[in-house]
Amino acid sequence: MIGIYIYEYTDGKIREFLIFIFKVLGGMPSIVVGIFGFLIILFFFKIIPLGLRPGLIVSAFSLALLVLPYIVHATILALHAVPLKERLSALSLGAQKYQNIFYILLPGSIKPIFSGIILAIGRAVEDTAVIMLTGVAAMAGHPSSLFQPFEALPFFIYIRSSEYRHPDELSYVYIASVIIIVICSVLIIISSYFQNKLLGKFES
Amino acid sequence: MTIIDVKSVTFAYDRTTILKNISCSIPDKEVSAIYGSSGSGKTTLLMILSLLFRELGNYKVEGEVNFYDNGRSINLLALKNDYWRIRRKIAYIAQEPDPLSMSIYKNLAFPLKLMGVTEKKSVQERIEAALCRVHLFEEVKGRLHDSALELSGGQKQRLCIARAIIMNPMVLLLDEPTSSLDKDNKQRIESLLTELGREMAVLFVSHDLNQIKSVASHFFHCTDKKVMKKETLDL
Repeated sequence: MIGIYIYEYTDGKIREFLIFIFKVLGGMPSIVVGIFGFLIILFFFKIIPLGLRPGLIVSAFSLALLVLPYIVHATILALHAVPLKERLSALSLGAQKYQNIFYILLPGSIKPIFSGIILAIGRAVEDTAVIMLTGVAAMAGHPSSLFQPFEALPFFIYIRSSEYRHPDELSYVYIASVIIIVICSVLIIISSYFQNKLLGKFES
Repeated sequence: MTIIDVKSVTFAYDRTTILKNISCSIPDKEVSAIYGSSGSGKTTLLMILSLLFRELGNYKVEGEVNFYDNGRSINLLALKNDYWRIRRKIAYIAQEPDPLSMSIYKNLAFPLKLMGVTEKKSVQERIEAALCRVHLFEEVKGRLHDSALELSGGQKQRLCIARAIIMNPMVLLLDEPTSSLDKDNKQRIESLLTELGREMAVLFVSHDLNQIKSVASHFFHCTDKKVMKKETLDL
């Protein structure tokens, strides 16, 4: 929605400025996003005492913030790639702006947008720095609620590989690495399936 | 009776002046043509009349374009939003036929959907009527649900005309409607324009003077981006 708004509803300097901002956000190290998530926890713990502590919900929010610029950028690029002829075809028939977006521009650019979303999910899956500061904990097990700390594979790999005492412990790291690779592969397979089958229906 | 009055219009895109001080009057229920060499700004003038130039960005426009909608004068260049209302009355057909990548039926139902006409019987009747008006119904009646992209060049062009006139526009703008067609299809489109010219204002761009002579009652000569001279044809 942000990408659509920036490309379709702003112009000139404002559009350039917003695109620049999201480019900067996209290039930001994930540890900075983690610090931002940590500041949110501090804000809701000390300044507005809602008792918010590191947990799944803050990590999810921070990861969403981390990948948002990728999705916005993919959306802007996809909309930019729609040929002018196609862009004008519905407008010349009296389509309103939102109708043109919904009926012509989005179906015409849904594939690259979807690819951007899948890549962003992949980025969120493998990121460690953000969750380290916002909710992940060693040996936390399954969280009982969205506000509880949790365990994550990238963090598990990081902790086990940096603190192992016996070479056998490294075998857990290898297994966890393989599981992450499998998860990423499954995501790519799902994205290909969506692109080839389901999105075809949406476009028609 | 004049339906569109263009007064001293200057248009620049990317800081390049494309039209300079253009003036012309488009009469209602007649076929008019714009004649001129490549780069003289013919297509730009159609883009201005259909307000599609508003989608380009980085342009500068001056002057007045008055559209007379049932006695009410609207300066098109002064409009700041809701361009779609005008585009439903001033339909534009691009140089290359551009049916949407959907079935013939859906292509024609699309503008009706945009206008909020969704009642199945009414949609069907209007689609049949539009196809009959462009003499395409007999050719496609058995394959209305096939892709519009499978039609021949001439059929695609007639489909695009049908898609525009299904909205009952007051003005029909066509940018070189026969440029990519063979002789037979060219003649079909030409006679179709003559027929449509009895019901609405038709303005088409061409650089074929013989075609203009056979279809239009007069033409505007666009030269050197500056002069828009009206020339009447002796028919």
